[in-house]
Amino acid sequence: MKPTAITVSHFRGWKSEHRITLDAPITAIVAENARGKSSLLNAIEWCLYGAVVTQKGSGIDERQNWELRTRVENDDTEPTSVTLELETAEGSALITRERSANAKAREADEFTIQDSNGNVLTADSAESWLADSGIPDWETYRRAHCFHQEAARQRVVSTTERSAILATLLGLDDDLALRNTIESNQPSKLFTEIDKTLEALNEEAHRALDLPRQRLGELESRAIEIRLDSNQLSESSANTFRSQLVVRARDLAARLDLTTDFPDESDAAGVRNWASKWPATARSSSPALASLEDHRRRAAQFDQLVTDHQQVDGTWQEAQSKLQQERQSGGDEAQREAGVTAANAKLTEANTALEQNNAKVKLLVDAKAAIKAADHKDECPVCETDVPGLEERLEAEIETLRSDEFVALQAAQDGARKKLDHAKSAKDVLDALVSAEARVRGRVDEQREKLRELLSINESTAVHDVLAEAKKQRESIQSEITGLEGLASDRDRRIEDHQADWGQLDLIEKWLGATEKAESSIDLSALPEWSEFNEALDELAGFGSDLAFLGSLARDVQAERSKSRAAEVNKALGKYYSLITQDDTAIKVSVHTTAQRISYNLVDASDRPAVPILNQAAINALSLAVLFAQSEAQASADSWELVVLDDPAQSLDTEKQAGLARAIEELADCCSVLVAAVPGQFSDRIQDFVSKPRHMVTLGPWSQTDGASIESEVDR
Amino acid sequence: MDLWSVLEERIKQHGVRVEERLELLAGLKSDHETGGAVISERKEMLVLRVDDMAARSKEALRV
Repeated sequence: MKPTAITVSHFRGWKSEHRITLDAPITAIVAENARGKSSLLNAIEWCLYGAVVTQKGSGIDERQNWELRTRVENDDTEPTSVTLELETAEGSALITRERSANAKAREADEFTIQDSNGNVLTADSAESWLADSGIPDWETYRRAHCFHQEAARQRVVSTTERSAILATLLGLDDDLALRNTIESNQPSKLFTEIDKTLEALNEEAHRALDLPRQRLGELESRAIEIRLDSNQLSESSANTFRSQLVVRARDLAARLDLTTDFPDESDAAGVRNWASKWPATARSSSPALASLEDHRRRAAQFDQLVTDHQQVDGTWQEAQSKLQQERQSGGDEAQREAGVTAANAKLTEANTALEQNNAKVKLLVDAKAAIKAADHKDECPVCETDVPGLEERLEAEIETLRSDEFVALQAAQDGARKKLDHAKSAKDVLDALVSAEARVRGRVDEQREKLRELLSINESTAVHDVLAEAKKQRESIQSEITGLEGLASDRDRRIEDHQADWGQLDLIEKWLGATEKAESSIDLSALPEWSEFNEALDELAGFGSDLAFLGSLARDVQAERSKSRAAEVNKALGKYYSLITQDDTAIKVSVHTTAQRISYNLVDASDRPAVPILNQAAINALSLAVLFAQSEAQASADSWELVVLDDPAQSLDTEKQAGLARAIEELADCCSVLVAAVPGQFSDRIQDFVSKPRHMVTLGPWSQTDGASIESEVDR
Repeated sequence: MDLWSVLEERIKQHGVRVEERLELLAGLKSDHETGGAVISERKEMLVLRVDDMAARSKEALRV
């Protein structure tokens, strides 16, 4: 199977659609660097393998941050598209991979195949076609069908890469993959794990056998702690305890008026189940003790009411005493009322006298003013009697009334007011004491009423009778309480006894069980889990044994096949190396087999490793020779018949470039060669001195607006 | 003969657990593309089953 043409569009440096035929034995893409040569070769990889070739994980370190689409000016929204036209045993087929311009990173490409019957396959059916068609997987393609300049040295210098490539060269990919799979599963380690599992289980079995004996010892120590004699560790003793527990509990239940079920004394399991719950049952709801809380509550009520009554009564007596003292010292209510009335009259009298004095002063002032205005100063303006010195006399009278008389009357008024205030104050004090006494008396009545209610006696009962009755009833309640508390205390003591007995019975029963276990042996084979474990173990051991056997067989077969293939491969390798280098140095593949692994190396005629003694140009030549030998072998197996060489002449001198052109010419006998090269001696060699038909494609300068372009295509 | 045919032949010649080994070989062959994932899963499953059964047996011994 081989590609006959490739069509690219918007792939890396290529923008508009270009189709290049690949059906000539040799197709050469000739261009200066950065014109799209490598991109064209990469397009084949992307078309066949998709995203894997664009990443560092592709096996080519330089693919990191590799852009699928190089941005150019006026870039449109057309998808990236590569189509490979194939020639297959059944006819022609088309493989197309497309990716939209704005596809998201995780978005899948559109991948379609048109088979030789014209059927268009997509998705899984397209992938299946690819897998069945004989197109190599990416790893094989990378190692056996293309030469990436950036990975050339690694192909032969890296031990892992070289060994894998040489295995491919020997046609032993399957051998290598099979052995990798087997070895990655580490079959020998499985037996170590099986041994560890068995050892752990064995320890567990021993522990299981020892455990009952240890348990027995622990129980016997515990028996001593709870004062069980060793002769009590028996079935008959257990029966006695069971019987004792039930009989005592029945008695307690009767005392507590409890109605509850009891197990049969001979029913060990029933007694076990009941005994652990009995304390809670006995404590929970005894009718006999139901009234205890009521009695306690009633006694507390009595105590509280009597205390309150005594307290209020004391306060009342104090109020009465104060009232009596006040009455004795300052008179009773009537006397104080009379005092206030008298003081009021005195004040009124003083007020009147003062007013009369003021009126008299006013009259005399008016008279004086009239005399002053009259012609005859000694004539009385009222009786017209002639009074000598009348004005002076009026003046003197006014002065007397305004000073001495006024002061005396005002003092009398103040005195009367003070007496009234004092009388009122005395009355208020007595009134307050009367009110206080009445208020406290009300509270006393209230307390008495409460007591009467509590005692259920009528109002006619005298106070001292109420208190006496209260004392009597309180003593009666206390007597009830004392009795019931005695019952509760007895219950608690019996429950404690029950728990102690139950603890002893429990220990005896556990001791009996442990004795039975200690005396019996464990039969592992009787455990269903054990037989299932053995089945699983056998299956794992069988798998491990088969895998180890296959690993050993595969190693032997690989060693044999390596040796049988080596001669043929070495012939091709030697031929190409000699053609490229023009050197007779024999380089061959050496197979190194140990009990654990098989490795491949490139050695010289003396079986010394070749790589360390070669210069860069010779390493490149060797890398190319290995690739050519691989391609020849693959082509002869009717597999992929195209080898892609990206600038293979780089670092080769003139002589080796000429040799490379001859090697390509030789290889073109077996499969098509697609080679990219810069213009120069090597490309001239391909164009002018090779005898095979070749298709020469020259690329024009890369344009920012149009991308890569084909300048000329010539068939020679 | 390819690798698989050679191995089949050798397994048959050896005459021990032939059926199981041929089945395992077929698994390895079909597992070729997946890098041995199916065989690894089978191994893990068998190891887990043994561990599980060992744990159950231990539990049974403790009862």
